[in-house]
Amino acid sequence: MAKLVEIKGTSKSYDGAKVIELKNISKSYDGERVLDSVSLYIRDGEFVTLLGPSGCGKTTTLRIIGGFEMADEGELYFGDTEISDVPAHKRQVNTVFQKYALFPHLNVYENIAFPLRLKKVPADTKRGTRKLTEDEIRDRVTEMLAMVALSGFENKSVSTLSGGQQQRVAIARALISHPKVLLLDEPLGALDLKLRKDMQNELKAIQQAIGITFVYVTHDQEEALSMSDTVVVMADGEIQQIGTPTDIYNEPKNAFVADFIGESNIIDGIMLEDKQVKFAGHVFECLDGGFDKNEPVDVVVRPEDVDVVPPDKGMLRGQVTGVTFKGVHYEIIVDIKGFKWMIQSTDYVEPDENIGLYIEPDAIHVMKKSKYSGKFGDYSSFSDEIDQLSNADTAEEF
Amino acid sequence: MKKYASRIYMCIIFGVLYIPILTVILFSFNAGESTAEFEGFSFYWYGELFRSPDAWVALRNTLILAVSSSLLATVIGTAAAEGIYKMRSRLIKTAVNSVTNIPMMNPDIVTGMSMMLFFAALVGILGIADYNDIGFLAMLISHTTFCLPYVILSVLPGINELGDTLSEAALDLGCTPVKAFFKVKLPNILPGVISGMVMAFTLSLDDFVISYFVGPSNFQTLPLLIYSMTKKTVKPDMYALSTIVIVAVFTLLIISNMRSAKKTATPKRKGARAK
Repeated sequence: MAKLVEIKGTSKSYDGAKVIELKNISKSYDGERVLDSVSLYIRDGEFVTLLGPSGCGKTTTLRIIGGFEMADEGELYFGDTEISDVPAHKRQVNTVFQKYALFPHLNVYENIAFPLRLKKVPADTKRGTRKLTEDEIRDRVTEMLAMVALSGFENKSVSTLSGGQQQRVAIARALISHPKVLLLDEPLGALDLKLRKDMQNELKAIQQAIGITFVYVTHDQEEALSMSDTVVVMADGEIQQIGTPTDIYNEPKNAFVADFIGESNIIDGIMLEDKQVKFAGHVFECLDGGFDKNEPVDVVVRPEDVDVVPPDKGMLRGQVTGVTFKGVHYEIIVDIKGFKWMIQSTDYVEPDENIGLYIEPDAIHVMKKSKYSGKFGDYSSFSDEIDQLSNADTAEEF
Repeated sequence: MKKYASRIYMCIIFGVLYIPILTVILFSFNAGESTAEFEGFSFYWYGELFRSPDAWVALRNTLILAVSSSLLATVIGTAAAEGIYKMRSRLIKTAVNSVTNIPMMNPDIVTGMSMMLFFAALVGILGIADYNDIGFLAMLISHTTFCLPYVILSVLPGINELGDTLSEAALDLGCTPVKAFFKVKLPNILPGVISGMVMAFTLSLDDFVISYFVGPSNFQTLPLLIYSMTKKTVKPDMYALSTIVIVAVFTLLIISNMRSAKKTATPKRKGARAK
């Protein structure tokens, strides 16, 4: 089931050349397929995020691009050159590892200088290549340290640095030899929330300043949406959807994507005809078309797109079963014919109150049925805690 | 009361362990020739010991053998530990681990005898006229062999703890696999490598059983010399020799223990741990 996927018109246009291309990449560990015919291309200068839950294959994809794993099937291209069998040390991609992987026996300066000391540059004389001089190395390390705001940390031992500082050293070390592509494997996973937000901005700023391609792996959907030009949603070793953050959020391709990105009510429906969909016992106007007559579909309605109205004015009527104050809004759980909806509203409603719901045509998104249909139930057993547990990545992931 | 009892118990244990050794050390400084009566402090027997050419030769032989076999065992053992770590199949890994532990589990006397038989057969097959010609080589191979599992055992935990991340980072930044090992992995597993080497050195230094079986007549080590001295009359110069061996081994042990104590005292590095 090869899927050659086209990256849809991104917010910024990337007419840059393809810098990395995966063609039908598959990989198994001990007979278990972790990547199933993944095809994807990444353009020069793009910020691409591989997003998915634990075990979806995103880290494996990154490790195949980095050269730490070899694909069982399929080809990997760097520009026009096939690099499927090229070992990691000969690839022009560098990685920022999940746990930084700084060298504890070297200080900050030597960690960052490490790639430069291995580098050979064309010599002025006819003797071919030479090593970089100590002066050249010092200039570049100093410049790099300034970029990641760590000037003056040259002689510190890496083990005395805070998590955020170690992260910056790792980034500086990965960028100093000017790779074409930087791979980042959950780089902010070990940082606390506040620091993570700061580093998100900083990473984005660095990427824009130096203009190289970033391939970023995360399980944090918010991180993916706020940083990326293009998001690749993965599950079960397959790509579910590729698109801009807005596309992914507003027009999820299937129930998995809708559920994974943000909160969503996913209801069984029937597409009566173009722009007419029936669900929860009511016929709604919508903007989607191109389905068969009476085709069963999945319908997504985002909690913030539902308006609470008096029962007699609502398209749907139901009883409030729970209200939680979230700061910006109330999270209201409403029982409509046995299906628990989540609604986000700034208006307070009483528990057990009967309310009406009003849904605009553009708030309804219709998706084709997929193997994920029906897997994501309603909000009857909803709690923040369970949600976090199911989204949290475990360290066991390959 | 309980505390008191436990202290007495500890004193008894340490007494049993160390009084015989202390007796040897004390009597090595005896001015007279008696092994029962202390007649005053003197370095006479040390002087006597080093006037005998046999002792010098044995000391030299022991050191040459201990240094070369421990170095060889360290190189082979570290490479073996890295190889075992890289093995993918759990079954083969366990099998290789068990096989490498055999020389350690085996009673020395069995190892010594099988080594002796092996070298005797080798002499026959290769048609070597005199065993003494390959005597040193035989000793070197034997000592390296029985030191090997200790080195592997000392290096392997460090490699396991380090994991693949640092090596992968080195490869990622442009190191060839060989460079990655020497520039990144080795410096980070060095404590284990050094303590393995020290252990191998002390084991080789005081080995008697295996050397007794394998040793050629032209290559006598200190433990063999001491043994041959006890067969004649027991003189305090033997005590002096024993004292030197004890002090040497103790010093090395203390150094290696201090190193590992230092290592555990420093807090765990955040970034360097394997997944």
